[in-house]
Amino acid sequence: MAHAATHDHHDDHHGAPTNFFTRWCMSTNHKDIGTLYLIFSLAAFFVGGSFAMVIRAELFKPGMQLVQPYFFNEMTTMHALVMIFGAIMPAFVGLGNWMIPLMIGAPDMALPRMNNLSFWILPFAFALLLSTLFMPGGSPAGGWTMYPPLSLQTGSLAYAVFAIHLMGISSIMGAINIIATILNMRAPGMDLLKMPVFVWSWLITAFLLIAVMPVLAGAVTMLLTDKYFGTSFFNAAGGGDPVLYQHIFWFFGHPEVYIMILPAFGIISEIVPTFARKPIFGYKAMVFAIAAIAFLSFIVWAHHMFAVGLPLGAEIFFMYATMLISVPTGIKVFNWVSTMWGGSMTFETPMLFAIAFIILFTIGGFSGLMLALVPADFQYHDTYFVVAHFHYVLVTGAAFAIMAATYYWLPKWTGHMYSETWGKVHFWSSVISVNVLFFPQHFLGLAGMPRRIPDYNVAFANFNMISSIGGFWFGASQLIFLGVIIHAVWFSKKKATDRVWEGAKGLEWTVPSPAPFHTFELPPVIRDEELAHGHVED
Amino acid sequence: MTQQAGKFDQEARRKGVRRTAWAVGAVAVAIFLYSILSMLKLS
Amino acid sequence: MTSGGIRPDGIKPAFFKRAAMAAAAVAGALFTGMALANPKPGQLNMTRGVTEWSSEPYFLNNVALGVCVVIGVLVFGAMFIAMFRFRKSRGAVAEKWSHNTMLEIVWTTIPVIILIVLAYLATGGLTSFADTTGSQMTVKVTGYQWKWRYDYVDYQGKAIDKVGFMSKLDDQSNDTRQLGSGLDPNAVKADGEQTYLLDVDKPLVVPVDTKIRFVITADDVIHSWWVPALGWKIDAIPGIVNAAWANIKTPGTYRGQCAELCGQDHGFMPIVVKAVSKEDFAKWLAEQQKPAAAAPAADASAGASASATAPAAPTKG
Repeated sequence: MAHAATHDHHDDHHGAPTNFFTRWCMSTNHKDIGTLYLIFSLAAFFVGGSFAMVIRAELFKPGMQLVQPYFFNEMTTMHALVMIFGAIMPAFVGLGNWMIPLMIGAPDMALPRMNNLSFWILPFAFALLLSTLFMPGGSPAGGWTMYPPLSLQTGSLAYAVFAIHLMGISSIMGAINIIATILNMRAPGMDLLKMPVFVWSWLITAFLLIAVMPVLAGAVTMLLTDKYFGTSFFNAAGGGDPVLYQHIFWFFGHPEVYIMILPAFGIISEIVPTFARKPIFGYKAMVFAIAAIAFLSFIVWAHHMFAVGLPLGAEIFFMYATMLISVPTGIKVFNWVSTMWGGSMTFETPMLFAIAFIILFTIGGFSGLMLALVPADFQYHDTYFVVAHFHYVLVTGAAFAIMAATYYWLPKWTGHMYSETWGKVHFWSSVISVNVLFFPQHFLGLAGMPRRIPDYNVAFANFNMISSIGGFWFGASQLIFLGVIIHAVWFSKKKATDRVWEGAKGLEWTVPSPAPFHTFELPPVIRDEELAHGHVED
Repeated sequence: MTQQAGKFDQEARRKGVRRTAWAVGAVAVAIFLYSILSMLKLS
Repeated sequence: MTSGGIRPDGIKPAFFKRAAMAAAAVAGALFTGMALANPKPGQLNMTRGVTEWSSEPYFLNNVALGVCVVIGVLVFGAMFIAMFRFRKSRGAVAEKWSHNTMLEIVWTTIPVIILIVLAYLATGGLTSFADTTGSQMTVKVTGYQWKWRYDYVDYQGKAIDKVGFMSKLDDQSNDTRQLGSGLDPNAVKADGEQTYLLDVDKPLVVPVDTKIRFVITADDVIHSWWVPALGWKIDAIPGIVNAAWANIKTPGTYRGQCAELCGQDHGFMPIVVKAVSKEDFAKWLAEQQKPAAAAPAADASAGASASATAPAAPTKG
C-alpha cells in the first residue's frame, strides 16, 4: 500500500496495536470501533432478548406463573430500552463506522478520538441502566416511554435518566462524527449524489439524531427535576401538564423510529442491487424518499397520542401527515421490487434477509397505515395490534436488516466466508418463527388484549401460546446467528475474495478482505461504473 | 487499488471537519436548552 | 345541535360507501366470526361493537385491511414473479435500466388517491366521534391505581345526586391471579361467560338508546378507559378531563380493560358496562338514590361519601 508521505503524525500507521487494552480500549480506528459497537449490540440483543423470553414465558398461559406483575413491567420496560438504545442503534452506528469511510474512500472517521469516546460511554450507560434491576424497588417499570406521573413513582428514575443522558451524548457525538465524515472526508469525485444509499441514509439519520436526542434529554431532565427538585413541568397539581411530556417525548420518539429504520433502508438498497446484479432502480428517488420520510417524521408525533384527547383539528392533521408517510415508503418498496425485476438474482443469506425485510417490513407498514386512521386507532391504540405492528417494523425490519448487513459484510470484515448452509438455516428458522411470534399478536390486539399486561382472559389463551412458542423458537434461532458469526470469525477456512459477491459494487469491495487496518490513506479515484447504483445521468 | 496522489489538502479537510463538528454540536446543545426553556412557564 | 354527531352515514357519498363496503366484504371473507361484543377464543378481527358509532372503527379497519391485502398481493406478487423469472440459475441476464419515470409517477399517484379516499372516510368517522353535544346522560369516570370510579352526573336533564361507586376486579379473579395461586383461570365464570380478569364487583350500569357522555379523568397516574364494544378508548389523565360519547343499541354486559400502563396492577383493573333497558335503568337508579339504610346499599353510601371527598380534577380548557 502506498505510504502517505503527506501526513505522518502517528507511528502506528501500518497495523493494529498488539496490546489488547491499547487496541480495543484506546482505539481510534473506525474499523475496531465499529467492531466494538457491533459486539456491544449483539450482547445487548441477547440481554434484551432474554427479557423478552421472560415476558413470553409469563404470557404462555393465563394465570400468573413465574413473576410478579411489577417485575413483568420491569421486563417490558427494560426490554424496550435495551433493544432500542442497546441493540438496534449501536448496531447501525457500528455498521456506519465500519462501512461509511470504506464506502466514501475516507481513511477513517473525521473525529477518531470522539469516536472512541462515543463508544466507551455506552457500556457505562448500560451498566447504570441494568444495575437498577438489582436495586431495592427495582428498575423503571413505567414503560420505555416513561410517561409521568407513573414514571415519577419509580425509585430508580434518576439512574434511568442519567443512563439515557449518557446514551444521548454518545448518539449525538456519533452523529456529529458521521456528519463531519460524510461532509468532509469523501474522496475527490465522490459527489453527494454518487454516494451509496447506505451513506445517504446515515447522513439523514445523523441529522435526525442531532435534532431529537437533545429533546429526549430535555424531556427526561424535566422528569428528573419534577421528581427531585420540586418543579411541576408535568404535575397537574402544580400547574403542569402530563400530556406535555408525551408531546416532547414523541417529538423525539417518532423521528427515533426512523432513526432505527432509515439505515436499514440504506442496507437493503445496497444488498438488493448486489444480488440482483442490476443497479438500484431510481437512485435519486430513493434518496429523496429517505429525506421526505425524515422530514415527515417531525410532523407526525401526535399519532402516538390519538387517545389522549387531542382537539379534533390536531387529530385530523396528524392523521393526514401520518398517512402521507406511506407515499415515500411505498416508493422505496416499489423501487426495490423494480431493482429485482430484470435482474439476475441469486439468493445468498444476505439477499434472503433483504427479501424477508421487504415483505415483512411492508406488512408492518400496512398495519401502520391502519393505525393512522384515528377512529380505528381508538380501538387499536395500546393493544397487541400495536405490539405486532412495531415488532414487524423493528424486528423483521431493523433487526433483519442488521442481520442481512452482517452476512453481507462479514466476509469483508473477517476475510472468511461464513457458512452459507448455517446462514440459511438461521434465516429460515428466524423468518418462520418470527411470524409465528408476531402475526397472532395482530389477532390478540383486534380481539381486545391491551399491551403491557402480565396476565389475560382465557379468550386470549390460544394465540398467546402460539406467540410464546414462536418467541422461544425465534430466541433459540438467534443462537445459530451467534454460532455462524463465531465460526466465520475464528474457524472458517474459506477465504473471502476482495469482491466477495459477484455483483458487489462500491469502494468497500476494492480493498482486500479482510479490510486492512488502514485503508484509503490516499483517496482512491472514483469510477462511476464501480458505484453500486451505476451512472446517475439525469 | 487506484489511489489519487498529489495535491490533496489535508489541512483544508481538517478545518472543514472542525467547522462541521462545532456547528452541528452547537445546534444539538441549542435544541436541548430550547426544549427545556420553552417548557418553562415564566410569568 | 346533535345532527353532526349522530348520522355518520349521512356525510359519506354513497359511491365511497359502496366501494368501501365491497372492500370490507373481501376483508370480512378472510376473517369470520366478528360481530362479537366480548373477546372470544380464536377471534380474528375487531368487534363491530354495539353502539351507534362503534361500526366506524370496524368499518375503517375492514376497508383499510382490504386495501392493504390488495396492495400486498400486487406488490408481493410482482416480487415473487421477479424472483422466479429473473434467477441467475434460470440463465437470466441482468438488464441495465434503472429508471422509468412513467412508472414512478404512477406508483406515487395511485397510493395518494387511495390515501385520499381512506382519509375522507376516516375524517367522517372522527368528526362524528368528536361531537359530544346533545347527550342525555353524563357519567364521570375516574381512574385510580388500580380501580375505576363511576359518578352519575345527570340523566335526562336532571342532575343526579350522590350516585357513585368504586369498581374493582372481582374477588374470584383476584384470588386466581395471585402468583402461584394454583387456581384455574378457566374456572372463573359469570353467567356462563369466562370472565377471568374481565369482571368487577360493581359494574357501570347504563341505559340503552341514550347518548351518554363520558367525562374521563384520573386521580393518580394516566389510565385509559376502554371497552371494545363501545368502539373507543380514551386516556384518563390527572388534571385533564376528556370527553367521549356512546349510544349503546343492544342490552348486554360489555367488558374492557385499562389500556394505559398504570403500574403493577395495570392488568387487573377491568371495566364492565352493563347496558339495560331504560325502565330497568330508572329502577336501578332509584334504588341507588335511596338513603343508605338497607344492607346492600352500604357500599353505595361508602361510595357516595368517597364521592364527596374525591378531589375535583381541575378542568383543562
